Amino acid sequence: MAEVNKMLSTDVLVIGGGMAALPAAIKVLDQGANVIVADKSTAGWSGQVPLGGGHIVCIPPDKVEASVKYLVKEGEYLNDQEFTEAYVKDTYPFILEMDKWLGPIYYFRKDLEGNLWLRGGGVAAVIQRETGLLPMLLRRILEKGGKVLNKVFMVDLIKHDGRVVGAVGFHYQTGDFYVIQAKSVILACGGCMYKSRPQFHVNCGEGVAMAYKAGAEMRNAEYANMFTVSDKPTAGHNAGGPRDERLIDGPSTGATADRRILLENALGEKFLYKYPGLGPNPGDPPWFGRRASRQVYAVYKEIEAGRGPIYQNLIGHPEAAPLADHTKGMLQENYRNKMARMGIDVNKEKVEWAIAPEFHGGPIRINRHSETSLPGLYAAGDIIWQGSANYGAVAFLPGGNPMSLAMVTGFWAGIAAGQAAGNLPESKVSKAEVNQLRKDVLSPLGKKEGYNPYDAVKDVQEVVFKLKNSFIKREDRLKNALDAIGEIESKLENLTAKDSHELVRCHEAKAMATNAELLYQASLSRKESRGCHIREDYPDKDDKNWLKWIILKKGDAKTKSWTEPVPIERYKFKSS
Amino acid sequence: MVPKKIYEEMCIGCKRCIDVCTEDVFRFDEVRKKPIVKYPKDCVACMWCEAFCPVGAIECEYTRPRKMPEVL
Repeated sequence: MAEVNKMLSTDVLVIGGGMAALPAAIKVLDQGANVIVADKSTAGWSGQVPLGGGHIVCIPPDKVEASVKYLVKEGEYLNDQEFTEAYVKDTYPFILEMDKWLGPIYYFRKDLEGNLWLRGGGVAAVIQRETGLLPMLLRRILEKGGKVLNKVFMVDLIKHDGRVVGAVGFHYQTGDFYVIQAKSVILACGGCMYKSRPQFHVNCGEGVAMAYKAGAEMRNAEYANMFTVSDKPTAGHNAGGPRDERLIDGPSTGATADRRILLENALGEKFLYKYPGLGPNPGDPPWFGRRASRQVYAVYKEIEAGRGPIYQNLIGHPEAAPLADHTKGMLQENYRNKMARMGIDVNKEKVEWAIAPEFHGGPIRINRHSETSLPGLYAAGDIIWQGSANYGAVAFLPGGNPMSLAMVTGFWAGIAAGQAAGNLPESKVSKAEVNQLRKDVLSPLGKKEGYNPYDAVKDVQEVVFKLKNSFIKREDRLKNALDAIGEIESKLENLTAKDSHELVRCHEAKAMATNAELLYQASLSRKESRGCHIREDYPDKDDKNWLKWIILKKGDAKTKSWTEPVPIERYKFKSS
Repeated sequence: MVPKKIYEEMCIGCKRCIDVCTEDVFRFDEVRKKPIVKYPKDCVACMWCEAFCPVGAIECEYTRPRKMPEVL
């Protein structure tokens, strides 16, 4: 391990290199401030957009009200409606601005009059090639003089007098220790996916853990629990690979096939018809129609009743042909030929589908300028998916939403942090402080024996991947899960790392444990069922007592938790 | 294990595979100017290195080395 300390200084430090971080960095530069982008992997190729993909939801001005109404209804009134409206309004102008940044090959598709070509109920803007989007944004940052650090993994924030003034981390490959002093820090490094699926291994909730440790407020953490239903041979959680659903439903492909037709149980029944509220209902905009979590519940019930496993049956179905022809559709490069390479001919055989843990967002609370509750700390993208309360009581709404939320909150964070930079003094981190931080961050390196980081990651996964811990909840199981996480956390001090590569795994395991703790703490508090928070012991929605946000914040010994009523009387859409 | 094979006679040493791997599976051999598969057990079978190798020098296998815990 190199003994080098790299000391850097900038106006704004952006942690992350994806769909929220890059627009944020561009907007910082637009305000005339300096920026450093530090990414654990490679900026422009990092986060979920290159691997997960999706389209950017873009709401034309005449559809804003309908869209907010829909989001609030789907979010079961746990939304911050003022935030939601501001977000929806900004999707359209921000996409038009971003379109100007893109190169001639990677652009948003237009019609013959030059208007955005919108798809999926008229709302999803389509990028010509998703994998080119982020590198084009990165190029703009470099053109404007921004500095980019790749493979630099930031793990802790520096705080002076209650204000965030920088962050520390280390290089993934060389192990060099980095101290980056900044007037503000923008966290844009994704939520916690607990290393669940191949395309989502990079985001382990480090940003959430950093913000929580520094004392930022968390909101709606009980909703950071996304599970989906997907094909077992590839995306099913026991094997790597992409998701069938990208091909057969959702605006990604424009294909209209409905899962109610495609999925069947072991008896050959199209079981999804039995569960009310599944699939797009009349009057719902189709772009939000998939409602993954309700399907998870239906599949769970079928398997519980002994009618599993579940299959996707494409035999003789018109959708089978494009699925089998890997050159068609909006497939991303790495997903091409996936079924063929697994030796599966979907025209001839059924494919088993299973419940797969995915998780998604983060609970950092922000306002409409992407400011967290800590001065000097901003957050954008998936990291605030739950905490912004933009979507209320749902763990995930597919169809391009995360990308547009990342873009909009990234813009906001960049503008706010960039403008604030001019009025803030520079703060100097002392040598003693650096030495202490260095000691903390690199501590697993010295140890010969202790807790293997790969075991730690697996131990956390064993707890959170259980559907009955994280999705179908009950008080006793939540308490057990919280205890199990507490036990893992008590062992984290003894993590060992042979090199900087393993040191990354150590900090990932720590971050995952923190995220899991927040999930179970908040889940225990909410004594009702609402949206994707399902409690067996409190099956009903309780608007009288629980139209509230649960806020978590790090206390001296344990987490401080309190509730805040949703100011529904102030909002446009009421719950009754 | 994935990536199964790197065709070194095709490899141009551009380091793209190292850039796109979020799991740090590859390291670069500065002497031979070729990537080496240093941490194969960390591969998650995203196939990104194969997809973005500009000369098609990497061949992946479609399995993940690590088994994930069960859901039910």
